[in-house]
Amino acid sequence: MTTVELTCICCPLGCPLTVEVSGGEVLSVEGQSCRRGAQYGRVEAVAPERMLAFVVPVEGCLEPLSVKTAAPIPKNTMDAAVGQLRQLVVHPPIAQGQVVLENLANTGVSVIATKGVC
Amino acid sequence: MADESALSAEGALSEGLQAASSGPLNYDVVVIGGGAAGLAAARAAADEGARVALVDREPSQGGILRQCVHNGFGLHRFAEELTGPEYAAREIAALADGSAVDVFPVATVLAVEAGPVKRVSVASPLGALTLCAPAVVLATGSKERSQGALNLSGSRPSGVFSAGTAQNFMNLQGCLPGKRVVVLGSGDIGLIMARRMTLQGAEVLGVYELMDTPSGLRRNIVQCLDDFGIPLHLSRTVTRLEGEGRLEAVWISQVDSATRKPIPGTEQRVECDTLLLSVGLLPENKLAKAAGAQLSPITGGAVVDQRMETSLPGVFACGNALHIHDLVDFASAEGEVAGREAARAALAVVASGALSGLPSLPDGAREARGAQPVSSSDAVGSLGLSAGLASGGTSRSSRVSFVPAVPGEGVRYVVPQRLGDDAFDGGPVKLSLRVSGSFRNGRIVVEALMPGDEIVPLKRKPFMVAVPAEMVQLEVPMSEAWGCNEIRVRVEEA
Ligand SMILES: Cc1cc2nc3c(=O)[nH]c(=O)nc-3n(C[C@H](O)[C@H](O)[C@H](O)COP(=O)(O)OP(=O)(O)OC[C@H]3O[C@@H](n4cnc5c(N)ncnc54)[C@H](O)[C@@H]3O)c2cc1C
Ligand code: SF4
Repeated sequence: MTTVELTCICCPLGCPLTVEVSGGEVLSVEGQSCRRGAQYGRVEAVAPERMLAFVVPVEGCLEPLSVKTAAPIPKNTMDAAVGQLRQLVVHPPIAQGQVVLENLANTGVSVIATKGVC
Repeated sequence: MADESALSAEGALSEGLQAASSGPLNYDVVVIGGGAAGLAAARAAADEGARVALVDREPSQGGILRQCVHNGFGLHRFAEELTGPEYAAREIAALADGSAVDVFPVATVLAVEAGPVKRVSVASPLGALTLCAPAVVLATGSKERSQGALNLSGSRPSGVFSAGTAQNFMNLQGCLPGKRVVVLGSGDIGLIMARRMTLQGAEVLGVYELMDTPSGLRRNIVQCLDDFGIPLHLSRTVTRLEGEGRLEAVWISQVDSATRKPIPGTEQRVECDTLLLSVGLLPENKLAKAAGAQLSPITGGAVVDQRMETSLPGVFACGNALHIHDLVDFASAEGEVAGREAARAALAVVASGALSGLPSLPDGAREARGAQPVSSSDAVGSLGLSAGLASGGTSRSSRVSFVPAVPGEGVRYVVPQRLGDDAFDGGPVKLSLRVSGSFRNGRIVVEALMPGDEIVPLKRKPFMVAVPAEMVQLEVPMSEAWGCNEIRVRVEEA
């Protein structure tokens, strides 16, 4: 059994959470002042996820393209994801919402443009 | 490269060209600044039936949102988390959706002349333009507190940037400002930039904060610093810069938490090529100040009433230009109020005939009037600058009396700072405020001080935690406060 210490980020109170984990299963969450904290601790302790926003160069253009993951990706894939995005160069025109990369770092999540360039 | 979602009304531009030679362009409402607040104001004013001009110095609208590529915008307004550019695109699309707004891109407003008709002087690639309207909305956003605000000794090498400038470099111009970075100040922009620079390959050595608590949101501390192993050092400041030409190192001292002065002998050298300053935002109030609007020494923005009207009748303010917002959703909502009220004030002036000496124009005719360039002598001659007309038609402000809304114990400021008569006979009034310290398990109390020392409670809002970093908004029913001398907002600790 391991103990994970976290800070709940769901509201400014920032309750210190203590999560007991065994074999990838959450046994208990303590320290929260409300249910949102329990839920946050449950996910954050064993399977934390993050949205990733990034900026990639556009061929033939000075202004770069802002992109994001279409869904949160597991935190432990972040390094691989960032490594892959640093290699990416896109070709205009690109519409906002367009997929610029599929299956980022084998997460099954795609990367989409958050603005358009033409 | 132009963002394809940006508006650049060809019509307005060619009209502008024409106007440059033939005199001022007339509108009902001119909105200055096309960020979140200005976009919402322009749309709301157009929805009231006003002819609206929206002026921004950048080639595309969206303001600060364009460079905020991170996620976390719009949870209130769109019930979904968007990036800055996505939020801006939605607002721009909503504006383009059939509303009669002429957009002037790459147009910098140099001055606003108050009076029954406001004259807005604009520098644009087309030359100098003058836009005239009975109502103006100031939505010029914020500026960053700069190095001058700090007490640094040593050389003045390059490599020192405000966090927002660095954000613009990286996210809109595609260049990395440096490789080894120290961030001074734990404001949200600094935290977000610490993550951005790390993601893009720079090494962020640490964030140093003068106070003994971080000033940014906890969410950003966890997701921007902890996630990347970037240390946060509290009660520290940069006291000296080192480097000829380019920055080579900064010297960091511990700070006495009581006096906030550096403690002698604690200086440590940190090698770096870049220092980012994230020491706060201030309202961009140049135009308001020059026009003669009364400013608040606390917010740095104009003093307004519940309609977001400044001390200058017909001049309205909203968004970061009025007071610094942490949530864009609130800036948009405030812009809507300012735009709607500006349109109503302007249309009332038009309907009263005070400007042209004509009886009120039907809606269609107003359209034509708005589009017609008027020569400047006409504008002065027929737009009724006489005092009688001004007080008769321009705005209620010249006639109403105001009740101050003041911060009491535990509250740093309240916006609006004053309430006009009509605040007390309608629906609830929205108050925005910031607390002056960190409080737990208390409540925010709004009360009316009546003649004869009677105190009428208007609202009590309990909270688990209140911190200066988060703006609080309250809807307060005011009908029972009719006739009061003052509205007071304070924190009551449990
Ligand atoms: C780095 C950063 C991160 C943020 N993160 C979040 C977040 O995660 N979530 C969230 O909800 N909010 C966030 N905010 C807050 C929110 O984005 C802002 O409060 C909001 O966008 C401000 O909008 P505005 O229209 O008042 O100002 P701005 O967006 O600054 O717009 C002002 C506009 O006025 C124009 N202008 C100024 N002067 C003139 C002139 N003289 N002539 C012509 N045009 C002029 C400027 O070009 C600009 O386009 C963040 C803010 C910053 C700075
Ligand atoms: S547990 Fe509840 S009260 Fe505590 S920080 Fe999380 S959301 Fe806020």
